[in-house]
Amino acid sequence: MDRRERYPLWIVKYWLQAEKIRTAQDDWKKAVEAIQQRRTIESLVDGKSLPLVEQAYDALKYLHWSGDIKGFSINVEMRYLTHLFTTHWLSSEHIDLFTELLRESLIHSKQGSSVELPGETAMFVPKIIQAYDKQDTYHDLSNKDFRWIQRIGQNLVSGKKVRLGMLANVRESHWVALVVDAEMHTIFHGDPLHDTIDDQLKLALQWWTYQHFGTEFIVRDMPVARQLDSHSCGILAWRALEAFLLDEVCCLDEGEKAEDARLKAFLRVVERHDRQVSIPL
Amino acid sequence: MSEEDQHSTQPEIKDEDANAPINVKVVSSTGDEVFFKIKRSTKLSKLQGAYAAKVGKDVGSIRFLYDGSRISETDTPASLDMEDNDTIDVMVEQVGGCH
Repeated sequence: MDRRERYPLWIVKYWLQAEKIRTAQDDWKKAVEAIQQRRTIESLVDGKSLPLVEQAYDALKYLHWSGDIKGFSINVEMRYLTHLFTTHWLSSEHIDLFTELLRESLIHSKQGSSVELPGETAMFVPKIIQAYDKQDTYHDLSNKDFRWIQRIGQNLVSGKKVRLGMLANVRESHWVALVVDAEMHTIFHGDPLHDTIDDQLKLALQWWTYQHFGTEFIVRDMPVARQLDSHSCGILAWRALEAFLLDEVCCLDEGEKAEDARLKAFLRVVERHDRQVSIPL
Repeated sequence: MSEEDQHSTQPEIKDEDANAPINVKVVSSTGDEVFFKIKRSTKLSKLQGAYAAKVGKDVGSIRFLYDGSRISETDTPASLDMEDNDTIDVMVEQVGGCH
């Protein structure tokens, strides 16, 4: 590098933008490579998943690869969709998108109005843990720190809502599904690895429910398809939560592949995005 | 100032109030707290940038929540009806696959 060379100040912004674009392009290349590979395999084995794979592949032909996903209350970059084609671990951004999809399904179901789904589902449990760590201040009216989790608790006690559904991240590496059932005084826990509930999570949730109901909630298992790999807990936990809240049978138990569940989630997000965006023919 | 003067300038006082700074507490998911004073008309994205710089993180990697909902780029304390000593929660993006 020539130390005497001088650059205009705008070049820093340009480099930042260029780096962002390059990263997104790399992610999309991996996604396209993965779906092309699946097309080939499914064609060879005459797999049942071929129509789904083709549908997802077709969607990529018109989808913008940069910018934000439209049609959701939160701004999530389009590049997050690439992870639904690969074995990339799903993040709280995906989980928030999925939660909005679930909320939409619930609106059209008979259970809809009785279910509470926190918008930022991944933040709900850490907030309860924060409250558990500061138990003395939870009921202090002048303390606004826990206002929104208090409101959710009150809605459950008053009967305005019957169930609280969420996905929680445990040990910063694993997604599990949770439903707090106010009528049954039960916390349903769905772990794709079929493990028992994390101790800290159980303690905090039982403490929080006790603060509002004055009784100890029991913990029971939620039906969830067993995770057989090292990357599918997010999609499996979400499907289990959706099935549980909609009173459906968990379809992944019937042999659905986790990678197909990812593609279906991708298509649902894209379908909602498309409703907000006019597509040039 | 006479009582009459106070009445006649009431709308002006309201405008001042609308712009008066409020104290906001930003709380991380681990419970660490950082305090800010911000005008009610100032975009909260400014506060977000200042917080990210203070904790040494990329602002794009953190999410800010008010009353359980994500704060958008255009939100201000006034648009969210924030009050003095309100709390903003900070969440770092979480990932999961297996443990």
